[in-house]
Amino acid sequence: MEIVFVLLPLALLLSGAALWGFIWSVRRGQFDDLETPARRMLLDELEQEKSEKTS
Amino acid sequence: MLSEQHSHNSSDAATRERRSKCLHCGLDVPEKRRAQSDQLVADFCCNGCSLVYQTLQGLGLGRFYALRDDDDLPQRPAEVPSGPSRYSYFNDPTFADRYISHLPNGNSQVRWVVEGIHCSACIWLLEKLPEIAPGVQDARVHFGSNVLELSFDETKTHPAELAQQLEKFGYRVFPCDADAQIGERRKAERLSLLRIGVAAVSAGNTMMLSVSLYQGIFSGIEQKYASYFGWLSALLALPVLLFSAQPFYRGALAGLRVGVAHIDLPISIGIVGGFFASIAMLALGRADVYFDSLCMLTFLLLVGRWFQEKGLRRATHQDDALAQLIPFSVERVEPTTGERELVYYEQIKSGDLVRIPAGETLVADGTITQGASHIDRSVITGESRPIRVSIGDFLDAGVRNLTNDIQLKVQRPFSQTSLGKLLEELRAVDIRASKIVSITDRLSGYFVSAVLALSGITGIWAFSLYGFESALDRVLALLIVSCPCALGLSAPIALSVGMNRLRRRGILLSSVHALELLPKAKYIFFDKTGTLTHGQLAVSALWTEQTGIIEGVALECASDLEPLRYARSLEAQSRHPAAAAIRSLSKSTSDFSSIHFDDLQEVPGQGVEGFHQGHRYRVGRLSWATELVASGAANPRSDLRQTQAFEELRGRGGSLICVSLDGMAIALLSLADTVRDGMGAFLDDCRQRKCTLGILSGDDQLVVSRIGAQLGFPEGESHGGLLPEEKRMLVRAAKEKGVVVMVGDGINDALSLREADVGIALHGGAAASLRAADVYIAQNVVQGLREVFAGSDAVVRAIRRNLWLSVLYNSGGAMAAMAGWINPLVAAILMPLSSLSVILSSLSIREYSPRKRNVGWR
Repeated sequence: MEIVFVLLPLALLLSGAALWGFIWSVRRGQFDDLETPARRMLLDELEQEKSEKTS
Repeated sequence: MLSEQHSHNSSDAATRERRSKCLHCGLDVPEKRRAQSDQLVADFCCNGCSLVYQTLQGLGLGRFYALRDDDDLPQRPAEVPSGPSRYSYFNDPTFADRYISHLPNGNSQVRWVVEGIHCSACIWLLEKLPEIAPGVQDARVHFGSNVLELSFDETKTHPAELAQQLEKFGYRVFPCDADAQIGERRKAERLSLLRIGVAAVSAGNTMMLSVSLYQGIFSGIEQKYASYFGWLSALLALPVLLFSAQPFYRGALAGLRVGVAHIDLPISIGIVGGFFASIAMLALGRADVYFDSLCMLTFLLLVGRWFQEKGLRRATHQDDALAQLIPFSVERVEPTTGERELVYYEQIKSGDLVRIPAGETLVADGTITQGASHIDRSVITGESRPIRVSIGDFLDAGVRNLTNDIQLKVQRPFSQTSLGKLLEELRAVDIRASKIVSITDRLSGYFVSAVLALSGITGIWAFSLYGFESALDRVLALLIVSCPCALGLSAPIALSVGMNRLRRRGILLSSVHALELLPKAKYIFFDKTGTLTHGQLAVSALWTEQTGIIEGVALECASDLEPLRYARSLEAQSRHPAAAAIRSLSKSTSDFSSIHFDDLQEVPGQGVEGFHQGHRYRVGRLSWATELVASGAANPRSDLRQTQAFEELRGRGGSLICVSLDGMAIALLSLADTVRDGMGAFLDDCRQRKCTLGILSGDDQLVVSRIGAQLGFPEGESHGGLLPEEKRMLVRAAKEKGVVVMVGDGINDALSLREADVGIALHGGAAASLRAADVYIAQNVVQGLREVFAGSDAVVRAIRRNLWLSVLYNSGGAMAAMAGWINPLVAAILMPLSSLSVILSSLSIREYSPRKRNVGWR
C-alpha cells in the first residue's frame, strides 16, 4: 500500500492542473458573463434542430 | 406593406370588454390594428410595434416571438426613429477615438449599451446582426450588463448605420463609457472567483483525504498513513488560509479597529484557530484534524457572498446614466450662414448657437435667440406642466422643448450645468456603501462574545476536570459547531433570493439592506407629480351642451361626442401636452384624423384652429376660443348653463380647454394631472401599517393640499412649493424620529432619496436613479410599490426564520459540544446541515402574485 505515497501527489497534480486551467480561464475573462451563454446555449440547440429538419 | 383594417367595436361587445396585449411590447392595446401575416392575426399598440413585427418577419426572424420570455419585463414599444441623423455623431472622430477600438485582425470594435434587452429572444436577435447587416463580423451580447459588443469592417459599414438598424428593431443604443470603472470592478470579481476556485480545490481534496482519516478513527489506520494524509491536508489548506480567507480577515480587523465584533471575527478565528490547532494535533501524532472543515467553511461562505454581490451588480448596470437623459448630438448653427451641422454634445462651447427641435432635450444652458415654445422642466422641478418661453428666456440643460423649434445661445456647456454636475457627482459613487448595519451584523457582536466566552469557560472547566485532550476536543467542537455559517448566511441568502425575485418583477435594488429596513418604515414621503400622479395631463372632466358635466368613468364613452371628435382631429398633430391628453381620451376605434380641416394652424400659447365646411373651429384657451370671428372680441353671449359649467370646472383646479365653433363654446375640458389608479388603496394600506405619510412637492401649495386631501393626507403633511434642498431637510428631520422612506423621481429628487433611509425611485432612468436611490421601480408604480413592501416583509420573515434555525442549531450543538457528546468530527458534519436548512428556508420566499400575461393570439 506504500504506493499511495506516490499516488496521492499524482492525484493532487491532476487537481493542480485543473486549478491552473480555472485560473487561466478566469484571467481571460471567460467567467465575466455567466448568463448570456446559458441562454445562448438553448438557442443554438433549437437552431440545429431546425437546420437538421430542413436538410 | 401594412394593410390596416379597423375593427368595429359595435359589432362585438365581447371584444370591447377584453383588453388585449400588444404582440410586440405587451402593453395594453386600446385600439386594434391588424397586421396581415400568414394565418396570424395579432394586435399591436402602435405603429412602432407593428413596424418592428413586419421588419422581423420580412427578414425571416419571426422566431423572435416564439423565443421570447413571457414572464420577463415588458418590452418598451419601439419609438419611431426621429430621423436618419440621430446617430450621426457616432461617425464623429472625437467619438471614434473614445469609443471605438481596433482589433488585431483589422476590424473595429465598438461596445454599446443597448436598452431593451430583456430575454433570450433579444440575445438571439442581436447576435444575428452579422447575418442582417453587411460588414458586421461578430455580435456578442452580455446579458447581465446589457452590453452589445460588435466587431465590424470599417470599410463596409459605419456605427451610425448599425445603430440605426438596431433602433428599427426597437432597441435604443448608447455608447458604453467608463472603461476604467469596468476594469476595477471586473478585477475584483475575478479575484473573488479565484479565491473560490482555490477554496474549492482545497476543500475537495482535503475531504477526500479526510474520508480515509475518519475511517481510520473507526477501524484503525497505520500511523505513517495518518500523518501523511494529515500533513498533506495541512499543505492543501495553506492556500485557503493565506489567500482565499483574506476577505474575512480584512472584515474582522476592520471591525476590531472600530471596536465592533464583526461577523467575520469568529469566522477568522475558526479558520486560523482550526488550522493551528490541527497542526498541533498532527505534531502530537493524533489524527483529529479539521483542515477539511475550514476549507469547506471558507468555500461556502465565499460562494454565499459572491451570489449576493452578483445580485447587486445586476441592478446597477454599467450603462451610462447620462445617455438616458440627454441626446448626444446637437445641431449647431453657424451664426453667419445659418448652416446647421450635427455635432457631439461635448463639442458645444459657451457662445455657440444651437437649434433645438421640438421634442428634443437641451444639452446646455442657454438663452433663446429665436422662436417661442413650451418647455417641460420636469427633470429639474418634477413638474411636467408646459411653461411658455420666448426670446430672451434662460433655459437649463435637461429641459425638454415641447412644441416649437427654438434657437439657443449657449451660456454654459453641459459639464458646467447643474444637471451635468449632479450627474458627475452621482456617477462618482459606484455602488453606494451601505450605511445600514444589517441585523445579523449586530447580532454577530453578541454571538461572537458569547462563543468566545463559552469556549474559554469550557476549556478551563474541561481541562480541570477531564484533562487537556478532552478540553481541546470540546473547545474545538464548540468553535466548529457554533459555526457562523448559518448565522452568516441567514441574511445574505434571504436578501439575495428576495432581490432576485424582485428583479424579475421589475424592481431593481442598489442596496440589499433596503429590504431589511422597509418593514420598519415609520415615515413615508411621496413626491407629487409623477409619483402620486401620472405626471401627465389627462382629461379629468368635461362639459358639452347635451351632456352637461361628465367625469370619472363616464369619460370613457365621451370620446364619441361630436365636439370631441373635432377636438381630436384638430389636435392630431400638435405636440402640446394638452393635445396628448385630448387624444388619449379616445378609447374607441374611430380614426384620429377623421375630420379634415382646412388652414389648420397652431397658435403658440393659445391653441389650434381649423376650418371645416366654412366654419371656424378652435381648441385652446377659453378666451381665445370664444373670440368672435370677425371682430376678435370675446363672445358676449353668456349662456347661463355654460357659465355655470365654466365656474364648476374651474373650481376643480385643472387647466381649462375650450372647443369652439365660430366663437361659441361647444365643449369645455378640464385637464389635470390625475392620481394613479390604486394609489389611494395603497396609501390606506400604508396607514394600516402605522406609517405616517406625507407629500413633498415643488408644486403650488394649493394644488398639493387638494391632492393631499383627496388622498387622505393629514393637513400638515402636504408640503408644497418646496425646493429640493428643503425636501431634504424635511426628510432629515423625520429621520430622527424613525425610519424614513422617500418615493420620488430619480433625478430631481436625488437629494431627498439619498438622505432617506430607503429611497424608492420611479423615473429618471434606472442607472441614474440607482446612484441616489436604493430601489428603482421599472414597472407599474402602484403595483411595484406593493410588491416591494410585500417582498421586504417576506425577506425579513425569512431572515428571522433563518436566525431562529441557526440559534436552535447553535445552542443545541454548543450544549452537546460542551458536554462532550459530540466530537469535532461530528460537529464538522453538522455544520453544512445547518447551512442547508438556512438555504432551503430562504428559497421558500414566495414571489408576490406572479402573473401570466396573455399575448393576445387569436
